[in-house]
Amino acid sequence: MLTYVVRRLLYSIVVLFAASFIIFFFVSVSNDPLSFLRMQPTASEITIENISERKHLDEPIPVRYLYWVQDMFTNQFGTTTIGDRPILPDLTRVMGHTLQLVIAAELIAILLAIGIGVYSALRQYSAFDYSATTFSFVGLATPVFWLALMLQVLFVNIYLWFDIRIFYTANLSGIDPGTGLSFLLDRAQHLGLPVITLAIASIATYSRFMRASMLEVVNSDYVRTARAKGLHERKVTMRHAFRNALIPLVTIIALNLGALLSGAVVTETVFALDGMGFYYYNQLLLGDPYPVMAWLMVVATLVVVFNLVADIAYGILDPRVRYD
Amino acid sequence: MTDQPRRDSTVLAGAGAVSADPVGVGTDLNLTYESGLELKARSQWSYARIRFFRHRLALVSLAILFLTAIVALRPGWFAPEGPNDQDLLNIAAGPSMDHLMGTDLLGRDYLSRVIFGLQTSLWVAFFVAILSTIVGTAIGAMAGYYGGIVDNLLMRFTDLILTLPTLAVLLAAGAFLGQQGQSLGPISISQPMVIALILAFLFWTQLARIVRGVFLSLREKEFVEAAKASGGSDSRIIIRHILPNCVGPIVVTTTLVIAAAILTEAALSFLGFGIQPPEPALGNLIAEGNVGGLGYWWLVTFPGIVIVIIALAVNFIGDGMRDALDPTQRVRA
Repeated sequence: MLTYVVRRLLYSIVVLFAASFIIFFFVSVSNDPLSFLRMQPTASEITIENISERKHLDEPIPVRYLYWVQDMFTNQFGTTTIGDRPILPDLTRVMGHTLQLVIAAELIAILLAIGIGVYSALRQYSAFDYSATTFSFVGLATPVFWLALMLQVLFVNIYLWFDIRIFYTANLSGIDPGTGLSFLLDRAQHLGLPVITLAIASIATYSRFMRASMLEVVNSDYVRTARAKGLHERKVTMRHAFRNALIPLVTIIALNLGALLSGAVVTETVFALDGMGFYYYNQLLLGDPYPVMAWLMVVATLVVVFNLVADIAYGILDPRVRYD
Repeated sequence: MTDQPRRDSTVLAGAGAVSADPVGVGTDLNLTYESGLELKARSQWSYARIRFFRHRLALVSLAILFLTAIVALRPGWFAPEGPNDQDLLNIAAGPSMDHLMGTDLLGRDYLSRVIFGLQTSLWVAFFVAILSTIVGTAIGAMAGYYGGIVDNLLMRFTDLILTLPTLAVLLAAGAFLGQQGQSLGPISISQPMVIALILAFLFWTQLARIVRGVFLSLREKEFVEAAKASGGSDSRIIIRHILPNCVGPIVVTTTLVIAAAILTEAALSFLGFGIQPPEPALGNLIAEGNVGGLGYWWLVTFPGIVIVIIALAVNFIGDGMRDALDPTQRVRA
């Protein structure tokens, strides 16, 4: 087990470095981070030359890459090309917002999806089952950004027509949210719509998995045995079927969490929410390799870690799995 | 709950029709038995076809997709107006009989723009599917067939791409490479095709793994050994003997790739890193509509509905194909 984890991690480090070089290469080769500055009539040649020299922009790309690696390890991902703004504080701030969003959305999604999945498996082909299936098929076919927009359209029109203003996402970190109940209310206002968006998308996926794995378990031999020895139906469902049906879901959730921490890009951008995804989107528009690379490294590490967590969790929950 | 295969009166044969033949003369197409039942020997393909046609939803979806494909192939025939024709008396008008999907802020008929956008989006999805299927099959087949170091190298490469955070890498690639058409020597690639190439570059991995798995298990089988003994070359064995066994998973994965490609391309174009504005695509139509403010709800709603319908149809077809091409499923005849 330990050797497996260590080997996976070592391999991941190699992968991360290879990926970082490829991405750095493409970002640097196709883009000039100073283009915005060059367009400014007030920026003098000397300023541009100075920045270019300080940021080693006139060196060949492999050398620039090495400078970047050095900056990553010794200088907390370095600073932005224009303005010399340290990257790490920005990253931690947006990370905090994304965590609030993702944790809230996933908690809601997991609880609801488990309920929906189990109930539709126990009442297969019932009206509830059919509606749940329809919901998740439509959910899987709906682009997340469009769902987010439609929610915005809905609430904007509610505001325009009825003058009721709920769920505004702007100014997330503007006012101190306070603590306790006022914190919760403030977050509910600001994060309500993004959380609903992400939760719907996740429920569509999770409830399908839950239903499928519950169905498989309910029809298996040991559940029949449990029934045959006269256990109460609730006990059969909860103790014998449900717990085993959860195993595949844990893997999916772990994999999805890694992706969500980065993949909320679309949702956050639609709602202009000051999170990881929106940060990345803005840095891509600026074309500065340093923040883009810093973001990618953090997210890639998270993805790798959550992939590993998924594998390990599967091994712990399912004793038939062996690592070697 | 058990899923009893329903039987109707004309055909009583299950998938085991040939093996039910006691003498082993499985070549006759019509075998009459003492019991008087009529048995029909069918190929795996005809079973697959029967199973697919029983899947109502998949069939309807196929019809819908077929219609959209025709519309997308010849948008000029179906669009009431050109994609850039302006109706200056009806600027930003809601849906009406004149303009079924309303008009945008420049007075362009939105239905026409959606139809032309559909063309771009479907072409991109189609190219992504073709490219990623070819690459994924080739890499999976080579890795699985040759094994050893070839397998190791190819699969490590596949793993590398699988570990990349897909959407983030796509955004970066779209932002830095895909803003305009590229040219590779004499070949010039149009901007939507660059986006298709970028998508295909990340979408082949799953198929490669599946194909590799099938090849790994089949290359040890007797029929492959026989083909080798009778002097078949590697390429012949791969293409003629083993590859036909992977058609099921390949077809299913390809349909899923189409759905993923449509959704991902829409997201990329919406964020402005996909297909660029003069070219209408479903995603950037939604982005354009969004610019006008959310009061113009029709500009955001209709292209999205089109995306949902196509993605739903493709998913249902994929589902039907999966059921149809799985030889362990009994035909419900």
